[in-house]
This record gives sequence, structure tokens and C-alpha cells, in this order.
Amino acid sequence: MFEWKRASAVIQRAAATSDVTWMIASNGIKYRYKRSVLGPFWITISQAIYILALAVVFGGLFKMRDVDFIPFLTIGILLWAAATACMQESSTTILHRGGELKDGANNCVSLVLEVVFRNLIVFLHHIVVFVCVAIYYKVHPNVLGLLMLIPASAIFIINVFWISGILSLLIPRFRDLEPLVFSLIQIGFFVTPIMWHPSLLKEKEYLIHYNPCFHLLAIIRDPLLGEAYPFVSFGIVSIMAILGMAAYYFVLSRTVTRLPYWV
Amino acid sequence: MAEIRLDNVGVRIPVFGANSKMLKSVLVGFFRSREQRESTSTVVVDALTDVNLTFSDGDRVGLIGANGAGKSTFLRVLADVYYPTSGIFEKVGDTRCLFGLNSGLEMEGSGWDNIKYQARRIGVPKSRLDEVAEEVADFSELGKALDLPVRTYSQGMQVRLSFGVMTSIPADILLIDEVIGVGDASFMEKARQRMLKFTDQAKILVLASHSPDIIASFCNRQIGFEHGRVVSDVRTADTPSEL
Repeated sequence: MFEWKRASAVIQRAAATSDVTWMIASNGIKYRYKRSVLGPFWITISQAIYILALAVVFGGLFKMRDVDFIPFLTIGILLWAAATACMQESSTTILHRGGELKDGANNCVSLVLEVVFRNLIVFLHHIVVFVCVAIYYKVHPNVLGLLMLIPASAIFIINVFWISGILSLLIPRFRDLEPLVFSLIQIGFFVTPIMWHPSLLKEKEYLIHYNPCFHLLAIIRDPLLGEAYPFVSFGIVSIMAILGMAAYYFVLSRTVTRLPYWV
Repeated sequence: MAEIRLDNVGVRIPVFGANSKMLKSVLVGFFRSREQRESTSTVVVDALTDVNLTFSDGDRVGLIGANGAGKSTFLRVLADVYYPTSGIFEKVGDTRCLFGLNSGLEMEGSGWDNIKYQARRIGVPKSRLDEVAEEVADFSELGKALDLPVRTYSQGMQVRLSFGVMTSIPADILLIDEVIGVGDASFMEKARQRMLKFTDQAKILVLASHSPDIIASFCNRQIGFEHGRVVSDVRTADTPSEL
């Protein structure tokens, strides 16, 4: 029932060819925007407009000062968009590209890695929006926070990777999971402090600590906004990364031999 | 040394109906009687049944049989893509496979890009990448077309590229499905020479084809499939005849 050896072999292959996966992901973006001047920055512009619209409406609704709200909103939206794009694309990547699995030309872990890499590269383009906002509103990130950004980003990516990975393996078998995941992502967007500041919850602020998405955002967002480093959140998401990767390995070992029959 | 051994290998492929693909139906299934559950259960196809074969160094095997006889399924078992649902399958040796024409090709990427992607995937070290790419480019005779996106290639051009990469560095076991047949006559002769050189350095070739010419010129052993069973296993001339 559990094909640990096979699962390990697939992981090894994916790791050994991760440089090709990176090349394919980055060239894929180049091919897609070959005929446009701005390239992926087109999407960056649309993200900026989206953020501006939300800033005007929700900043007004919640009566937040722009300087407190807009940088907070910007980085939150960008991180959330990148993470959920990975999950949504991974949900269907194996269904769409199952032929490559059946032909032994690719493996199910590399396919997810490609999605994550591609979205990471796109995110690095979008980050320009935050840089502009941060300069305009004179945001001062703290130095410790900037140093912690390296491990924090790694842990953020690992968490996105295992969630995407598990989805990519389960959805070929249970097709009705896909709309379910999409609605969960929708709900997640509203219950996670992205468009609203945690302080707005007042005495119920403790509730957000039960939301893993909050901690995941906090480890990158807080230090960038110059707030104290959220070590508790960092600890929680680190544990989440380890348990999640173990869960991914577990699901992979259950599905790896059956996946070619499902697609 | 390369060796493949199959003992009573069977592959049963579940074909899920629209309903059983749903998590909902699995959850609802817990609350249903056995009869109700069985009426909605999945169809299972016996793609391969009781396959007993042994291949060793120097075997150049041609698989023959009608469409749906099990040739491709068999190749996929050898490639570790399909996992046998019964029997014992043992394999020693690195495996290289060429199954789909455009599988693994990035359609928007140029020929050069694709040679590099595929070469890296089969384990060509970075330091030798340029040298291998040159050699494959030379073999494929695609010339300037290598600068164009692969989506503009004909099937014959795609197979020149993929076959060239797959045989660029030695492997113990080479598995090829029908695809090779789309090449033109001059390519077939080049491919045959290259394959002989490739299989000289050892090892095992397994090739599925509907073309008796291809089988006769590439192979020294013919295995016939019918309805997922092996129906014939014939050794032919050891030195393949000229095309």
C-alpha cells in the first residue's frame, strides 16, 4: 500500500533535475511574454490596480490611515496571490500534463516544483509594487527582520510547496476536491487579515492565532513593515513545514504508483 | 549488465466512472449497503495478464500486436510508469524511454532549449551539455530549425530531436514506442546505425512497432501480444538485415 521506495526515487529525481525545472519555469515566462514589451510586468500593473482599488474602498471602510494600511495591504495581497496561484495551478497540473507522466518524461514532484518556481519568479516581479509603496510611505523594515527574511521565505515556500503537492496528487483521484479547494481559498482570503488589520478585531484578536495562514503571512509581512519579529509565528510555521512535508511524502507514497492510472 | 525479469506480471487498470471520481461518492459509500456500492463501482480493465519474460544483454526485442494488445502498457511497466498489480517485476539497469512524440518537449521553446532540457533530464552533466547538444544537433540534421520553437516542427522533426537526445549518452535499457515510425527513410537508416552502436555498448532494446520492416531491421527477437497476453516469442537473425 505504501511505496516508500518509489516515493523516494521520485523525490530524488525531482531534486536531481530541479535545475531543469527552474530553467523550464523561467523560460516558460519568457516564451509567454515574448511579444510584449513589459513582459510579466503587465500582470504587475494589474495587481497594482487591484491593490489600489482595495486600498481606496477598505481603507475608507475601516477608517485606517493610508500609511498604516496600504503597505500592509500590498504585501499581504502579493503573498496571498502568489501562494494561492501555486495551489490552484498545482491542482490541475497533473491532470493537464498527465501525458508526460505516462510517457515517463516527467515526474509528479517536478511538475509541482515547476508551478512553484514559476510563481516565485512572477512574485519577484510583483514585489516592485511593494517597494514603491514602501518608499512612498517611508516604511522602515527592521534589520533583524530583513536577515530573517531568508529563512522565512524558505519556510514560506516549503509550506506552499507541500500544500500544492498534496493537492496535485489527490485531485486527479477526487475531482470534486478542486471546487472545494477553490472555495476554501476564497474563504481563507476573508478570514485572514489581509484586507483588514488584526487590531480591528479588538478583544477577539486572539482568534486569528488559530489561523495558520495568518502566521504564514506574518513571518514575512511583519518584519517588512518594521514590526517586532513574530518568533512565535516563525516557530509555528516551521513545525507546519516539517509536518507538512512528512504528510506530502506519506500521500506521495500512497499515490505514486496509481497516479498514472488516474490521469 | 542489464536484465529484466517478469514473473506472471499482470496489470489491471481501474477506469473510474464520472461518479466514482468524486470524494463525495466515497464518503457517501460508507453509509451504503454493499450491493449499492458495487453497482456504482469502477470498471477494471486487464491490460496485461500473466506475462513471463526474461530479457538480458544483447536482446533487441520487437513487440508486435494489434492496437490495444498491450504493447504500450508492457513498455510502461518496463519504464516503471505502470506498476504491476500482480506478479514480480525485476529490472537491473538505467532505463531510457521514448514513448510520446511531444512528451517532455516544451512547445514554445526552441530546439536548442529542448535538447538541453531533455539532456539534463536523462542525466547529462552540465559540463558536457554543450558538447552533447552539438552532437545531437548534428545527428538530427535540423540545422537552422533548431532556433525555432518546437511547436513549428513536424512529427518527423520532433522524433529526430527526441531520439537524438535519448540515445546521446549510453543507457542500459532503451524503450521505444511506435513513434520511431514517423521518421523518413534516411532518418530510419541513421537511427538504425545509431541504435546498433547504442545497443552494442550493451544492453537491452525494446521497441513496439506495427511496421514489419522496422522490427526486422532493428530487432533480433519478436514478441507477439494479443489481448494483454504474450502469444509468441521468436528469436530471429542475430545480425539484423539491411534495410
